[in-house]
Amino acid sequence: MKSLTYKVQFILLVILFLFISSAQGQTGKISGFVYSSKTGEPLPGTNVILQKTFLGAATNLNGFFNIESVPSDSYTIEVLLIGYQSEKKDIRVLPGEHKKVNFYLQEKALKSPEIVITGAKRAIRKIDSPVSISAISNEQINFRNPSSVEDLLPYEPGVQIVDRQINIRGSSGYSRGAGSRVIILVDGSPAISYDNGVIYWEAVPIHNIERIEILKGPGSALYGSNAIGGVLNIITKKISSRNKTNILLNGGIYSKPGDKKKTWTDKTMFSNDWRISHERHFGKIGILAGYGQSNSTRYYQNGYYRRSILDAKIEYPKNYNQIITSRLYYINDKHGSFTQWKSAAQPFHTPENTINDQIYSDKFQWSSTYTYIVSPKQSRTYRLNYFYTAFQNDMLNNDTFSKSHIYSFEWQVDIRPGVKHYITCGSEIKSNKILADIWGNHYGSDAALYFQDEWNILHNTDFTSGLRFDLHKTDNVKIDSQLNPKFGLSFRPRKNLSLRTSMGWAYRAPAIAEIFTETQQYIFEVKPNPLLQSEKSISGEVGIFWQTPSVSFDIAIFSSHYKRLIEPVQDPADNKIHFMNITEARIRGVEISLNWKLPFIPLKNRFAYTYLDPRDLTAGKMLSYRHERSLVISEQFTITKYLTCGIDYRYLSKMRRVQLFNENPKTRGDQRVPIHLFSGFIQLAVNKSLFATLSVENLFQYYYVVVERNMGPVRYIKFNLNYSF
Amino acid sequence: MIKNNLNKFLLLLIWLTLTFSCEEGLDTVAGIEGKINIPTDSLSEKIIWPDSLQGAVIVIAECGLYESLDSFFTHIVTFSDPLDTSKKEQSYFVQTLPGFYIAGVIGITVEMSKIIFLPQDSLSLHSEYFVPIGLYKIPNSTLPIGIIRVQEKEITKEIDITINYNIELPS
Repeated sequence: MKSLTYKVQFILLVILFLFISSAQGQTGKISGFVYSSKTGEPLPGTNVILQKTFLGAATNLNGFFNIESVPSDSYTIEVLLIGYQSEKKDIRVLPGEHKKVNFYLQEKALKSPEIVITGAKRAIRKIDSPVSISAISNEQINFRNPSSVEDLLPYEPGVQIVDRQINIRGSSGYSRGAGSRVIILVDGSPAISYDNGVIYWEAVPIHNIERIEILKGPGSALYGSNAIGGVLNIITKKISSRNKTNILLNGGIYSKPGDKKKTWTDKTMFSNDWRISHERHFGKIGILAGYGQSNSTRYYQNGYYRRSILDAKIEYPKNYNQIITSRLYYINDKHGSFTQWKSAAQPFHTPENTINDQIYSDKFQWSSTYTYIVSPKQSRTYRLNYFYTAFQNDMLNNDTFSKSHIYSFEWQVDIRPGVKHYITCGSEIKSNKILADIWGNHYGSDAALYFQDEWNILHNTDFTSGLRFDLHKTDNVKIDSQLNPKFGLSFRPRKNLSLRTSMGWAYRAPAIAEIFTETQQYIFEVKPNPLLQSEKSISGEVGIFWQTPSVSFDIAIFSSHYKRLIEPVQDPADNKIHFMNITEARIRGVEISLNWKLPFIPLKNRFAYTYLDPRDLTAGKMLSYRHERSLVISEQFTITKYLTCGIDYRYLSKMRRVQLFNENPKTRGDQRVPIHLFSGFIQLAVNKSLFATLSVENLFQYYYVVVERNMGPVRYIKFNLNYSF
Repeated sequence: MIKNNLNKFLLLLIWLTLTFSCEEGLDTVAGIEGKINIPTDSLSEKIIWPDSLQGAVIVIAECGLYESLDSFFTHIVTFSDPLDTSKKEQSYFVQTLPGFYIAGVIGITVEMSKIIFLPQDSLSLHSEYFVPIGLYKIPNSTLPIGIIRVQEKEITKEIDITINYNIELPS
């Protein structure tokens, strides 16, 4: 019996060897260069893909690409680069042939990302996506000169930031740091803490971002819990093929409020940060390492922070078809605590008894991805992720701590069984642990299976269907199982026009903080609610996307129906805050974005408008902490080749409903106002490696509250210097 | 061409600057500001605070003479955040509309969270939880109560109140 087993194994090995040998004999190679048609310069970083396969490459500094082991067949080769019109060529590769092909790309007036990966867990053209996705390019990030990722997001249609909490299409309100209805991924790995289930913006790398993608609408059919409102995916840059050192210096000052009563200090309110990073290759292995520090007084009393940040990335392309990427991020942070203002007369002061409150925290993420292109028809990806967050509150009569660990592993396989289908499936397991006194010690585990089929029904029509099954367990409480399907249709009647519709089910398991928090902070008392259940939603949207080299237009109409929506409310019995499942809520809305550039004038224009109708159907009221209307108008003017300036206007309508402090008409105590904010920048690009940017946020020093008794930022003048060599 | 466009852009900037003048948004507030003094033991200098009181807030009522506690509470316009009962002296501010008011301090006999988030005009419904422990009087005056005038966009200052656990409402 044993010898028979050996024989079978031997025969299988011989067959495999013969198969591999014959497969190698049937392959060819494609290489070439990609240039700018205008300047003739090589274009590095261009994506070169063989359509309907997993094969592809990116051009190096000389614009050169090389795709090996291409099975003998006919292909369409496509090249894509932000800011350039994509090009396609049909080629035929014969066995043993080395095919050489060059491309000359035409520059586009609008530099928006062409490729998005968040909607389908793989790279697809934005115009093919059946769901709404916004993408923020590296160029836009540089112009805005942000301190953190959250500074960039309010300029995107459908996205609001309410006192550091992200809200996509009205899905989230404001919960004072517990639970998030948007999942954040860094290079595909989640970075949401297990304890309070929030995004720590300081733990999201702001340097070395290639682009940011925002999936608007439910993402649970691929990403599970927390993606009920959307997905935010940070894609970091590839390590440079040449040795490179980057130095970044930022310095800024906050303007003092003109009304002296509002000033909390006579000293200068400032922020500064610096960072140095170096990237190089040791043989095949690319390594990036960076270190930086940030200091700020912020614009309100006791709002200071001091941070040290360490980050590293390793890329190891083992073969032409295998790559290992590993990323590490650590931040140590100490900051003051500001819960609410001292009084409306001193809105930038903290109450006297909270003046020494401070928080120490550590965040650490290590994630590794191994991608293996098994064949032109199959690719596998393995992701390992560890995310650690810890904080220690040093507050008057309220010293609390929490340490949270998340270990996760994901396996994803992409298959092309035929030319009309593209299947993505995978599984994910997670183990979570918390040691804390604020919400107690807890353990949790999650497991999930997902499947997605993209079916090319007609040459211009794709139908997507997907399903994810999730199991979620906290401590020894019963297992919560969830099944979330999705459907999408993308129809392109013209090359540059796409009509899309999608529908998806989603869920979110409550965060540990929402279930178990029992604390008092200043006058706020929070009590636990162990009966809290997962919230669910059904969402649908229809949209149109139209793009030409100088105009891009997108409109989406959406509606989400929530069941058991979790919101912080006050218990009328004791007025303590606790998290409760509101029976039903519905959020409908429309978002429009238009980008255009007029011919012969170096002025780029952007308009983005969002209307929301967020209703608590059970109580018959508006949902709290949502702005009904928001508008962004941006103008960017290229003065010379080296000098660019721009101005942004952002409007948010007055928040219709808040939770904690009800307005008192007898005193004009309601401080909510519509928000009008202007910001501007001027950037000098001395050469390709030296940039200097001067930017001003809240240019006209507009005073507003973001939520009750919390002021929005005052005018902030910031200077940035970025030098690479 | 570029120069022409630059001029247009600068004109647009100037127009925007003039249209949206600086320092706007929230209105300048009007209200009452002062200090609260909590008595201390003359020997130990420890704060005297009865165990029966869970906390205290400053209340602002419409101007008038009130014969009973209930009638006083029905005229309360607003109240402050909780006082810090561990401090001998602390400053406060309460926002009001322009008008004439009287100011006092009430001790709360139940958990503060039961009171602090109440709609401000519903305070009179919960008067069983309140004990008056302070009333503003004009310094060096024999009048039993001090009347406070608040003007548009102005803060009336130095409305200092000393806690008195044996206070009686003037009638």
